[in-house]
Amino acid sequence: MEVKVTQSLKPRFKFPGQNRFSLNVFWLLASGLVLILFLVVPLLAILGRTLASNILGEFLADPVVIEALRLSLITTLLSLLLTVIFGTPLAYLLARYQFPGKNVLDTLLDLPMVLPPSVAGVALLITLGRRGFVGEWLERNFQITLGFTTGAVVLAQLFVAAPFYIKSAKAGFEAVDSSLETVAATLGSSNWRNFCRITVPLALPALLGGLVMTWARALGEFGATIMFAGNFQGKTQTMPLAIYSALEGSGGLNQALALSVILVVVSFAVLLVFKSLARYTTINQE
Amino acid sequence: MLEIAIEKKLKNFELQSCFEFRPEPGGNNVLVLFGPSGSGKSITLKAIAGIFAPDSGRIVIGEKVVYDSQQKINLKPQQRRVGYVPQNYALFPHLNVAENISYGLIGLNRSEIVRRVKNLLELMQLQDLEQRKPRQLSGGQQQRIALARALAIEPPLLLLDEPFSALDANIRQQLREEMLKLSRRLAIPIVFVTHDLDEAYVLADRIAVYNQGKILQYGSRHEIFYRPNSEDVARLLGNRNLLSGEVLEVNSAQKQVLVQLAHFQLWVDVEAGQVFVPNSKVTLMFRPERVQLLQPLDEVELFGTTNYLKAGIIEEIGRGSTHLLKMRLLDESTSDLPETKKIGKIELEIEVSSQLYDQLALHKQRDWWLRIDASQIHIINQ
Repeated sequence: MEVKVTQSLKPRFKFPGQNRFSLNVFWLLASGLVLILFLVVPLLAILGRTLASNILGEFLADPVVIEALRLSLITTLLSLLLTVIFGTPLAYLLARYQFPGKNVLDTLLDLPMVLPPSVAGVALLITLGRRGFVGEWLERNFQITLGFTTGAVVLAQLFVAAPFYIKSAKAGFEAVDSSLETVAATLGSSNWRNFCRITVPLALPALLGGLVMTWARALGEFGATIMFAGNFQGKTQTMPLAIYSALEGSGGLNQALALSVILVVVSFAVLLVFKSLARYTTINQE
Repeated sequence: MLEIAIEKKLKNFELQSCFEFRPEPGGNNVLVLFGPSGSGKSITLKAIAGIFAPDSGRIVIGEKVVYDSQQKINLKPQQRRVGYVPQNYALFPHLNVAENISYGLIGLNRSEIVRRVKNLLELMQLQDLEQRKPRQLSGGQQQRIALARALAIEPPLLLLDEPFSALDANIRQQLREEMLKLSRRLAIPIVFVTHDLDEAYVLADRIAVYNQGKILQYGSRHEIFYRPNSEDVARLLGNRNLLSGEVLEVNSAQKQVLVQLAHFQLWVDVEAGQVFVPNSKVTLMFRPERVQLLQPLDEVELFGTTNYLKAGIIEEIGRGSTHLLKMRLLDESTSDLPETKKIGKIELEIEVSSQLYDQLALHKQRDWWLRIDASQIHIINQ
């Protein structure tokens, strides 16, 4: 998330030292407007149509909607937690140490961001699914079944979304001067204390930015989830899946609209909070 | 006390650092590691601090062995707790001055931390800045905070890596003086890395001269500046007055030797332990500020005394308080020496105070009799 850039390019329709609204700005704005309209209008249309037909109240009590929302929030929070726990050390390792094959590993970790989620779904099925080689072993020895459970939803989200955090956190750690850590060590402070008190606070904007991207990706996750976890209401049917089901089946357009509005509002709120948090931590360091 | 003998193979050279530093009472407590950049000074410092591992060797700080490759001892930086100030200070940008200084004060109670921080702020004259962030402060203030942070843990040794190199000249001089006072007062031995000759001279009790990973010479400031053990050391210390010659005669007690250089001869005092034999090749060196301008050449000639040279000023550089004169030795008009021994273009550098420069009207009077006292010439075998 480009917090610094948005700060320095505060929308003031003039270049530094220029007071008049110039022709350049006019053309920039005019061409930018095309994309602004394209991106914003459909979102407003959802909002407008839902409010106009006054269906939100009805669907807010709908168990399909409530369960989907609850499931989405729980699973994304879990995948976020797993991402932080396992992604942070990995990002630090990639940022601070050189080892053979590091470039290849780095690229492999970026891959889930580029691949279509359906590939992720297939990949997860043949490894962790009931007949996948890890899944079969888990079921035989521990009676653990992952495929088509809530756990599978979390894993699908983790698979497609964790790389965003790893990438951002790695860049954040790299930007922290390692001599700060070495000097902190000579002062008698343990590596863990230095990590918590020096490295993490300084990398915090990047860590938070990575978290937002990861959460957003996890919340929107559809393809891998429907293939690996299925579409069972209350168990694996997250918001995106519920919207799809509503359009396809019983709920109809109105249910899909209500679900979409909720998703838009929740996403907007979370993004806004995270952005101001990241900005606050950046400013606080200066 | 600091004892170090380490080796490390690096990309461009092999580092071999070996010396023993015992601060003497009445001294500055400062050991200067001097040398051009990339000669192994900073790496040696890091090895002492424990943030860079040598291949082999031994490091002892005080009575504590912190590294010994044979006994497989390699203490972590946290266990060594030497005060280390890197070249860029490495202040924690998100912490304020007080938090920076108190960072290493772990496990002390609140009032003790407050007391120590307060003392250090006073010592470093940073009293009103405790709430500021490093980037709101000047370079000199940042440097003091880094020093205060290192001193807060009451280290057995202070390691400073070119601490003043990023500062303006006038601040540098002021901080240098402050540091001298501080080091005498705190009685903590300081290892100071620099490539600045003036800095080395002002601060050092002892100097280790580095080049290409090796220590060329280790000794007192006087030894290094006036008795370099090789031409390389003399050159690294900015001495351009190097003359090669041949021993003509050695007086009976090995107290003085007479050296033939091109068309002239100089008597040179021999130091204890030095031995010279006639006809051996030697190099003479002397500091530019130790050459006397005796009298203008067109005045009466001098006969019967020794160590005189004739020279003319060919170039000069005003440096404020001093003038550096480049002088070329003038040929002996009556010389009947063979062509090979004829004087080429032998040039000397001579430093005179600006006061003397004006008194002698050196801007007009260019040709002079010079004298170099036998005691001021350092001689080494080639």
